[in-house]
Amino acid sequence: MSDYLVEISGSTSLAQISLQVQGEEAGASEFKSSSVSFHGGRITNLATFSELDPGTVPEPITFLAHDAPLPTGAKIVWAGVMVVAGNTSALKASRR
Amino acid sequence: MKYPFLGVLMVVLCGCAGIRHGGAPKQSFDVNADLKALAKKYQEATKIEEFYAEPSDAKRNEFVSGRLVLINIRYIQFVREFTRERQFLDSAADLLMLSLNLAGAGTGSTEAKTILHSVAAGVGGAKVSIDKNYYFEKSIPALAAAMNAERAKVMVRIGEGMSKPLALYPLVDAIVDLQNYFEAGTFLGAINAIQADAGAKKAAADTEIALLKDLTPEDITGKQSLTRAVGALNDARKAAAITLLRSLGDALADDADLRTVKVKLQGKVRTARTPEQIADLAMKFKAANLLDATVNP
Repeated sequence: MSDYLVEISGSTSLAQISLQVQGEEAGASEFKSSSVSFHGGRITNLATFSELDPGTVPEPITFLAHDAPLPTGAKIVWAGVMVVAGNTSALKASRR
Repeated sequence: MKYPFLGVLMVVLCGCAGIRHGGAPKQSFDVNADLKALAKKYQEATKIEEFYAEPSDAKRNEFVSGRLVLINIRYIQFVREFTRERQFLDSAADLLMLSLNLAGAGTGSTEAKTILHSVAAGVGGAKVSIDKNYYFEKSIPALAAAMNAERAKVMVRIGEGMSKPLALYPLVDAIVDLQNYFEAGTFLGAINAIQADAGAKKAAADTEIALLKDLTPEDITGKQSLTRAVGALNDARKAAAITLLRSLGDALADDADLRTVKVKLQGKVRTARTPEQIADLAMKFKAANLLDATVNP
């Protein structure tokens, strides 16, 4: 299965980033990474997803501030920088 | 060998000297002091009041070439702080030589040639240890290459300007270009250039990048239900799925294999990214008896 890009607006809040990524994963995809990029004339987040086999839904993913405690039993699946609500922020993504 | 121990000791001591001085003999003169002397020589030519005392093409070019020499000298000193890679120093030395030519020094100048030769050879003491962070060291080649490339681009613009009459390339324009030239030789300038290039490549290669929209937990649950319905698809429901796909614009043969049908239907679910699209697809799944009516939405 192939990888593809989606855009997560730089004006998106941290909580909504989690929901948007979960929403994308709900369609049998898996979040791999995100990078701050220039697209469509603006500074934004371009996230890479991998297509999974039909019918596959990954464990829920959550985005946290880089220094926030991890939920119990969760492991970090990605760490990096995203534009969150207009500000560049260091984040991590965790999954059980 | 009569005295094997002494032989080994001599080899070790000679080797140690080579290792301590980066695999080369210690420089017989101070490269930094020579660069400083070269800078001092061109300092006088770069005073703005000198230009405005008697503006002319020649005075402008004298100012610009003098400033270029100064910027290039500082750049070489900067690059030597974090790398001894020959390729990066060569490029920086090339631009310095060019600016010296413009300033009338000529590559025939013995002093300039000697300095530039040793700068390009990368000798002159141990490498300064600035930051042993693994990722920073891995970034240095990319940053140095980007800085050199961006500096060369601006240098072309400056060179073209210097061939124009004063009216078409006034000193103020030259000063702006000189500042751009300086900034191109900084880490921040390199990072901006790399990001702009990467962004441009991504934009060109992926003209259709979907923008994710706000979703609620209920929207997500609904989409998950559709995905699970695709996973649960079997031969008994394949015909209904093919009919649904055709209504969504996908032409499939009646005898398409189950995996193909699942992949295509999953593709439709994957691209349902707004609450309205998810709800609409759920209705169509229900109408095709592919979604259990008791599950959301």
